[in-house]
Amino acid sequence: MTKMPEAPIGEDDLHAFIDGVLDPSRMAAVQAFLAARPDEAARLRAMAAQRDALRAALAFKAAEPIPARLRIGHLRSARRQSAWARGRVAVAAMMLLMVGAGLGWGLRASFGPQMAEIERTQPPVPEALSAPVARIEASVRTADIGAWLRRETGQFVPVPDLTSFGFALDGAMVLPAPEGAAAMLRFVDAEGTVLSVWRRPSPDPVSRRMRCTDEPGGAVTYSWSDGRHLHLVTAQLPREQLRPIALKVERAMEAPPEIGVMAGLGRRPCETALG
Amino acid sequence: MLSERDRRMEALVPALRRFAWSLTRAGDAADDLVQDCLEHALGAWHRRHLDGNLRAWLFTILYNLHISDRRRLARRARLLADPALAGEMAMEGGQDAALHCAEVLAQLDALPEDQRAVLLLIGVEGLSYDEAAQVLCVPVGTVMSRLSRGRERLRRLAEGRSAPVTALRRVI
Repeated sequence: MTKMPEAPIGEDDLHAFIDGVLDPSRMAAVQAFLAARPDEAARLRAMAAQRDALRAALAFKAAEPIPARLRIGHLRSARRQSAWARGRVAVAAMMLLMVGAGLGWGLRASFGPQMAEIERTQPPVPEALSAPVARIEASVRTADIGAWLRRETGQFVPVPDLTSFGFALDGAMVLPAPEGAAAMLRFVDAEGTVLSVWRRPSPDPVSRRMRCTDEPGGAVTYSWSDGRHLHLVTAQLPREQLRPIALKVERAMEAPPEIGVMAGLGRRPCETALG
Repeated sequence: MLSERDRRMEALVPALRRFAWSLTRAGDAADDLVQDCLEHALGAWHRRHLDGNLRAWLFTILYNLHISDRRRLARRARLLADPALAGEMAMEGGQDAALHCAEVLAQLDALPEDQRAVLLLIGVEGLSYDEAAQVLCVPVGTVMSRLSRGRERLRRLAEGRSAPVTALRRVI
């Protein structure tokens, strides 16, 4: 009776027997095999005893109270918090993008008289393009620019005096943005060269030294940040000619705000953007 | 309030801690491993089939993290040749084992990693052969042969004899 008509007994049958998952149709064959082989039966008993000993040795760990940090509720709320933080960063980044797009669109006005000429001779920009930016403009001929800027931006905006360079104030423009309006001052010299000065709330409280960029089309831009505002000075002028003007504007922009408008300046733009 | 799925997941935490501790033999590292595992699971929750086997899935994540952890540690140890790190890990393991038992754990340590994992998953955690194959990413046949070799080796160790494979190595 050592040979069975069915498949021979294998190690897998024996382990399934130990683990209690043996197919019932194999049970009789395995039991007959073990009955005929006491040494095999003893080996299997030893293995089962080892398995039980291992289970017993490790049981304490599963019986321990679980640490609070492994509670699903805690892990879920931690995940929600980090997702919320990521969301806030995304919102802030989007606001910056919007302001940047607005500025870029606005800057087009500062690319000298050629651009203004083109605009006069060509049909106006399609409505769809000009619509998203609600620009507000004022001219020195109709308004006191200093007072007008304070009214439109809610802030004191210093107006630099550039007459020593031959530039006279011509007008101003305000671009509303979620983190605070951007202001543009437009200067023109006797030859019709347009110079624009931009000032908007800085996205971060880090000040940045002045640097120079050559814009496509021949314009030159000097930019810097005092940690509260970003500034740009742009004109179709050689670098060395624009540089002293930019330095003068930088000094002018450091002018202390008048009493009574400090409240609006005290709040940093990043705090406004992040709520 | 926890959802039904979250409750089922939390009910598996004690078993996950036991498996992690069996693999690492260090309480804090084991709980770090379980936390990593749960965070991965929560992050990938929506990608999982609802009718799948939650237990096997969690054990799979945990074991994969453990393997990559071990690789990372091994890389770091190799790069820095840091004997302090190795010593610290060995000591922590030794203390835990001394506190909590038993000869059988020391014998378990003598097994190769893959056999040890099979013995733990099937013998201690009660996973089926199919589930263990899923966790270890190997065919069921491989699970069976590892189970067979692991149990045989453990039995010989318990009898005070080394397994034939060790004797063979010694001869060579």
